[in-house]
Amino acid sequence: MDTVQKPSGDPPFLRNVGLFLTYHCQAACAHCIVRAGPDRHEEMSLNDARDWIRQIASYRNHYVYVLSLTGGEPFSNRKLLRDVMEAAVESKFFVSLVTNAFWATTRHKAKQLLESLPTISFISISTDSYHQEYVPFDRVKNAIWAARDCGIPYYISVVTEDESAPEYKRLTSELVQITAPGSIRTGITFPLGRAAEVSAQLRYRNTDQAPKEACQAASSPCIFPDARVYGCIGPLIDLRHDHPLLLGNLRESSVSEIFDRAETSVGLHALRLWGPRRLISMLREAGLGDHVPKTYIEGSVCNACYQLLSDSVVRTWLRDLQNDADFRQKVAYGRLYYLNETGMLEFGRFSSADIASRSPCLSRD
Amino acid sequence: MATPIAKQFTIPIDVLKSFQHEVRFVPQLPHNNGYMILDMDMLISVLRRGDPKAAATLADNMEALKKSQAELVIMQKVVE
Repeated sequence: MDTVQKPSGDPPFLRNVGLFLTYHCQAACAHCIVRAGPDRHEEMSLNDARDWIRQIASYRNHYVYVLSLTGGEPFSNRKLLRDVMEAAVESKFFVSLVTNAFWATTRHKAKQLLESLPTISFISISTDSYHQEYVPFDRVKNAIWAARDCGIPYYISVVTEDESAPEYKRLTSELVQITAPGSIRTGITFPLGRAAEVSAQLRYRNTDQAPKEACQAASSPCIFPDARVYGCIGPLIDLRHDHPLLLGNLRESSVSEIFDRAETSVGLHALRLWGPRRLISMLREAGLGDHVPKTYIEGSVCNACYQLLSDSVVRTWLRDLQNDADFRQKVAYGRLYYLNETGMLEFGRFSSADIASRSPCLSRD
Repeated sequence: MATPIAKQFTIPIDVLKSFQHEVRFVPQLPHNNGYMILDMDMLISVLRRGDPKAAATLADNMEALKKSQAELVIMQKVVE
């Protein structure tokens, strides 16, 4: 990827929560892992949204400060979007939106629409060869112009399975004509959901080496219309089994209960600290090397994580890891050392008395 | 609801040494899921927009961060 971007800092845990408003979308992109599309109508009820927003707002004295509205396409149901945004802003959240920009038919209309909504603090606009089968690039340009004119920070989210692919390069060269390279974020297509149906056509680069990066997506849980709460909005939402990133269900537990449990989840925070590679190494040491993946999609932490958690033996091992006092301690202090987070130490049963004295962090460069 | 008690923690020396000897890798780019981090761009945008509601929200959030002992640090990047 282009080296203009600086290395990212770790997002703080639980400061941002996603609300998956709807599975409806104007597009039926081939790569969509949630299979959103024009034929889907499941959406979050306004009553649920308001209740959950209230609970999130009162969690730990407004610990969460951003609600990110996503889908599907949140602009599909503008009334729901507006009502949820009003509830969010009333509860003093910043609101960020994820959209395909279908609504930006002209610059003027795009700007009018953005100005008509409660305060938008950030907007993520998705475009790539998949989206462009349904949403013309001109709409993306209009949405960028409108966001800029309204003073709303944005980035453009592009997915590809291969950054050397001609269509990806063409798109990014068009994008840099209208926006700074730093505002373009690239992700790897994941062969799940609708993308699983075309996986044979996807041109990934495979490797036998697990990705070495930590997972940053698991810093921000996402709530779905059926009240499931996931630790990320990645491919793991496709797994229905119990695993560390399925945090709970709001029909059975409160936001507080689920978020408190998430603060002490060893598996989740191990992924945030060291990524799946650490877990893979530990599995091998535990004699479970047969259950680790043999090949990985290059550059995809999500792929490695998904493969791991698809294995029932690995899931059982991860559940047991929660009771491994030594590793739990290491994760708790790792959060303090690397991420400046004391949540696991505060919520877990760790004794402490003195002032934290911490050596400087290892350089992230 | 469990209420965390603000505490100060000491990292055990053996754990600290293990962290000092390992290398941690973070992605070059953040995960592109629309999640926003309270960063410089966002702060500038809110202040420039002149929207009292947005400014009040920002102030409330910064106050909440201040209560949980966060600090506002603006650093000049060193260019070599």
